[in-house]
Amino acid sequence: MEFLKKTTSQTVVLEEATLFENSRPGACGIALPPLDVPAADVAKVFGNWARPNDLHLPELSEPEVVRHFTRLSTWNYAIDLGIYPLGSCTMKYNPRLNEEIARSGAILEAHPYDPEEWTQGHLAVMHELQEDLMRVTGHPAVSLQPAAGAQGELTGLMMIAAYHRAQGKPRKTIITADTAHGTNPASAALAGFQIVQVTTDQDGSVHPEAVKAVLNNDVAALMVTNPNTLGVFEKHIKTIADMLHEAGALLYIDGANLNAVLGIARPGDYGADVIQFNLHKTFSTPHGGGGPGSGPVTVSERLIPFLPVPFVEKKGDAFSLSFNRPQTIGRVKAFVGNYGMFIRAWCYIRALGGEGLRRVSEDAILNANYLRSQLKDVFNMPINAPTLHEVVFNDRNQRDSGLETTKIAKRLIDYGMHPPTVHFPLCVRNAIMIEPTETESRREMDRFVGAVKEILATPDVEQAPVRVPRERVDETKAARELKLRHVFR
Amino acid sequence: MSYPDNCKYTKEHEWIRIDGSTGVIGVTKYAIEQLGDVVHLDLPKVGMKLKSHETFGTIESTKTVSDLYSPAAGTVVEVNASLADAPEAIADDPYSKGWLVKLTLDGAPAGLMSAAEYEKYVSEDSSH
Amino acid sequence: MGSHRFLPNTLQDRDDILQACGVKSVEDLLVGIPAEVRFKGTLENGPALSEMEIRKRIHALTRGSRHAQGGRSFLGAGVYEHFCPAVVNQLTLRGEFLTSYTPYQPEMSQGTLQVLFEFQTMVADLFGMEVSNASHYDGSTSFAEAALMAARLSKGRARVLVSRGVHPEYFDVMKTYVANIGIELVPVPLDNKGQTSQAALKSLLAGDGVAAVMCQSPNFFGCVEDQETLAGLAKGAGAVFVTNVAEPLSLGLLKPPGAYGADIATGEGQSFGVPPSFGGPFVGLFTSRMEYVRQMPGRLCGETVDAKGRRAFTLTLSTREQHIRREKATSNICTNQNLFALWATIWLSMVGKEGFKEMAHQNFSKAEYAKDAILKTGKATLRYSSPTFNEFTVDVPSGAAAFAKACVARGVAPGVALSRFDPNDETGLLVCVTELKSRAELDELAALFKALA
Repeated sequence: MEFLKKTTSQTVVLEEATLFENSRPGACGIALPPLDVPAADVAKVFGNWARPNDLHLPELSEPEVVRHFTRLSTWNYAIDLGIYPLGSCTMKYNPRLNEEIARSGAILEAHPYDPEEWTQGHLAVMHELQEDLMRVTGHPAVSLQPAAGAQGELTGLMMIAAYHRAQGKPRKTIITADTAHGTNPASAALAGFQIVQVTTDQDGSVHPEAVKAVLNNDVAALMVTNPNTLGVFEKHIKTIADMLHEAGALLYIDGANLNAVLGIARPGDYGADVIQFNLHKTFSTPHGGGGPGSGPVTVSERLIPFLPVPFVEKKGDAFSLSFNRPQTIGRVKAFVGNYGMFIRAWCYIRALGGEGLRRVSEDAILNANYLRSQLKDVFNMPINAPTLHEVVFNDRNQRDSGLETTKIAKRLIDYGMHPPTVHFPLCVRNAIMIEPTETESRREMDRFVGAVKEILATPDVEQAPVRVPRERVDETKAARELKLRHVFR
Repeated sequence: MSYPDNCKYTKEHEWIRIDGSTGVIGVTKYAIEQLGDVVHLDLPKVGMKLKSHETFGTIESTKTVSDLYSPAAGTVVEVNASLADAPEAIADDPYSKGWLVKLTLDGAPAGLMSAAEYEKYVSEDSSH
Repeated sequence: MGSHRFLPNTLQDRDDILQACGVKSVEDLLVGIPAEVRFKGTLENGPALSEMEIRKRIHALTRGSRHAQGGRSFLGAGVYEHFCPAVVNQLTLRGEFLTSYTPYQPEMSQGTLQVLFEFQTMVADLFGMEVSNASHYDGSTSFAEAALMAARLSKGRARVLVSRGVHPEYFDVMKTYVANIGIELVPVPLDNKGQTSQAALKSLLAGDGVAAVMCQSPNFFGCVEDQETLAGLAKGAGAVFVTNVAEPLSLGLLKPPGAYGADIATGEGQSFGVPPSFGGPFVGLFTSRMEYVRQMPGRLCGETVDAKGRRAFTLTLSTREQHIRREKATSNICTNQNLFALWATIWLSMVGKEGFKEMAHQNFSKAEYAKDAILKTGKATLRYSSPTFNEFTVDVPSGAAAFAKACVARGVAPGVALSRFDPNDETGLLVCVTELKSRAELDELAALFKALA
């Protein structure tokens, strides 16, 4: 365990009770100025619609609140601490300037119904981001509205449904691949489709024959992530796009892995009809422990009439919100979208520029291939094809020693590193899916490789992780007993 | 793993034991081992009419939720109430105390496997 | 291009990596991409800018914003400006919260998970409901997904009655969500008091097949509704009752959804100190009865123990979610709105029990004061007689949009002209007053009515 000793140290971590256990009657974290108008009479106006005294919000002073959340923060791992090699999740550095600008007064205080005199700058940023996204995908139109990648998928699929309805021939089937994220079939179901799944070939790509076998005049679209979740670029994608279009069907590209191909391949150029962005993956808006996301979509000519409204339009030097799309699917979200995320993505794109964006993808590919080169002799690689920004291994070489995927992942935690994505994609048994992103330096990657190699060389002694505030968590008990909130006495 | 000879089996891993016009339905030990720790069962109400191969509920583990398919057509006459508070008990004794529902059958079910056929079926399934 | 400040790989590092991979150039790593689909051009997204240049650009672009212009606003309509203590912004900037992933590895994310447990507890308590999820994208999508959940609960019923008191943009989102799955939305009109018409509701409920009745209180026009009666009517017809609280600060004064029998209650957590930010990101609230928890969309955090028997938290019931249940999931939602669930949790713990009630009361008192002051000018009339919380609708006979425009020229947005949502509504102005407005600012608003309306 030399490597472990060299790279980590044991430190004290403070325990922290819940807000409700810490609460004491009479404590208070804020002060409001005294009421400077007559106090209105609640009982008189609301009668028995008034709330009885049954609120249990905690009562804490300001320093207690600060310590509570600061202590809890030390129980979290984060990209700011080290490598976060979750495949297909694209955990990259979140530039601090973006956060500062998104939290500045001009941005924070803007109300969505502010008069356009006050919002020209905000609309200009949105318009510029619209242009940026179209340049990246090679598509002629865009909507920034979807609240997250999954909602972008839903938006794209609803546009596809509307397109076929407008053609006079509603279609009910979406073809997905076995490398798909779970959101794909879930979004398709919510858009009223049924799913047919095709199998990825041993070479890591979906083959045209597999698509041909299920393609008929009920197929509305094929939905595939490209590069896919094996890190492989779908090499027949152009042929498949042509086949689909000939059959009157469309091509949906899931943009989850767009970080790999900025300036290298554009979905609009190879026949994609719609793609969703995940601004947190490609353009580095912070994951925030799980959201907010933002899932803009760009589309081909075919789908322009069905885009959500409103969108930002430029006339002369003036910007305005336009609702002029008679065949629109409507709104997918109130207001204009997650503007705070647009600002961060806009800052990120400005900081990199066109050339820098390509450099991001190149470095992401270089880093993933570096890890592949360092780990290919210890892990089994079930699909041996050229890979881009991520690489998928499994535990076949370790299974005899009892070190299966989950154990390897949990033991990495004791080295102070987040494990890769495990047990996904589903088409690889016990998958270990690694995506370092462009953020990692060789030093960080070598630290990861060193930890993996030491784990694989060390017999399994204890139930990892043990060097954390909480050891293995009993998920069965959580699901059986369902304690979803604190119970007040 | 052995499977009781007095039951018939479905490809979705339900078993049915037929006694005259009544059928008792459960899920096989193989299915339960695949599911892992069972945490919840969603079962139909008495009186519900089921077609053959219709879903009549779900079985939920920490890993997944699976639909339950009826091996036969009929009407639900009894539901195993003892599983409501202790769904994990299904794993201890899936062919007896772990039964799920009793049906009054609308005739003899068809297209089911014998114990030997089912055993062969799952041995192929698990070799994938 | 040389090195870039975000990218640790130096040119030497790149060469070393290429060597380790046994290839000569980056091109050699791209062999898996067929030549015919390679992008031959260069991305025209402009040059790489320094921090200084980006700051200057954003400053120049937003020079005309309300903040830069020192404007005052009485805009609400689903987005409410409330006081936010400095602590909230500071703590949410901690990298351990800001730059962590979804807590799928509970041993490395107990911080986020305990916050979610606290969030769920406070939201459920405020709503008087048994269970809250870990948050949704925003109020509009929470409400739309509530319609889908209600339809799942009442198997076979496909009509959903939606009050016209619901925010019109929420209604639009619902329309989009149900367009492909066979649910029919039927609007229920308001009566002349500005509340959901009970007579209309009764007649719409008379037919079979109503899955849910969906309302909002305080409603879009600011009116507090008789939710107890509406819930009773819905349940009498076997329908699920869903209510939306777009301004949940009102729950400091008003009876919560759980107390009047809501089966599902949604809301917009933006009110918990989340900045308006031109419309997002916000945080959707989603609560329900415990018996329906398995039909709830979205993420849930639960309490359990670790291997040593210590209290620990983990995501639970994830078998309902897309990554496991795929096309049979309760929703396609993949994330919660975690950073803003954290924001709301910190805000609520700072404001606390007494602060919440006091803030709610200040909103109510100031709005009542402003209402009186505006009506006294004789230039506007109150549209509805129903009680209101911090927002109310007045009619400006001279035209609401023109009046608003004249006020903006003097640095004040006096409210949202309802012609924005209904071109036929030329006189309606929705005015919102929160604790942030001083008496002097309310007097200024009344003076503008007097001078310009």
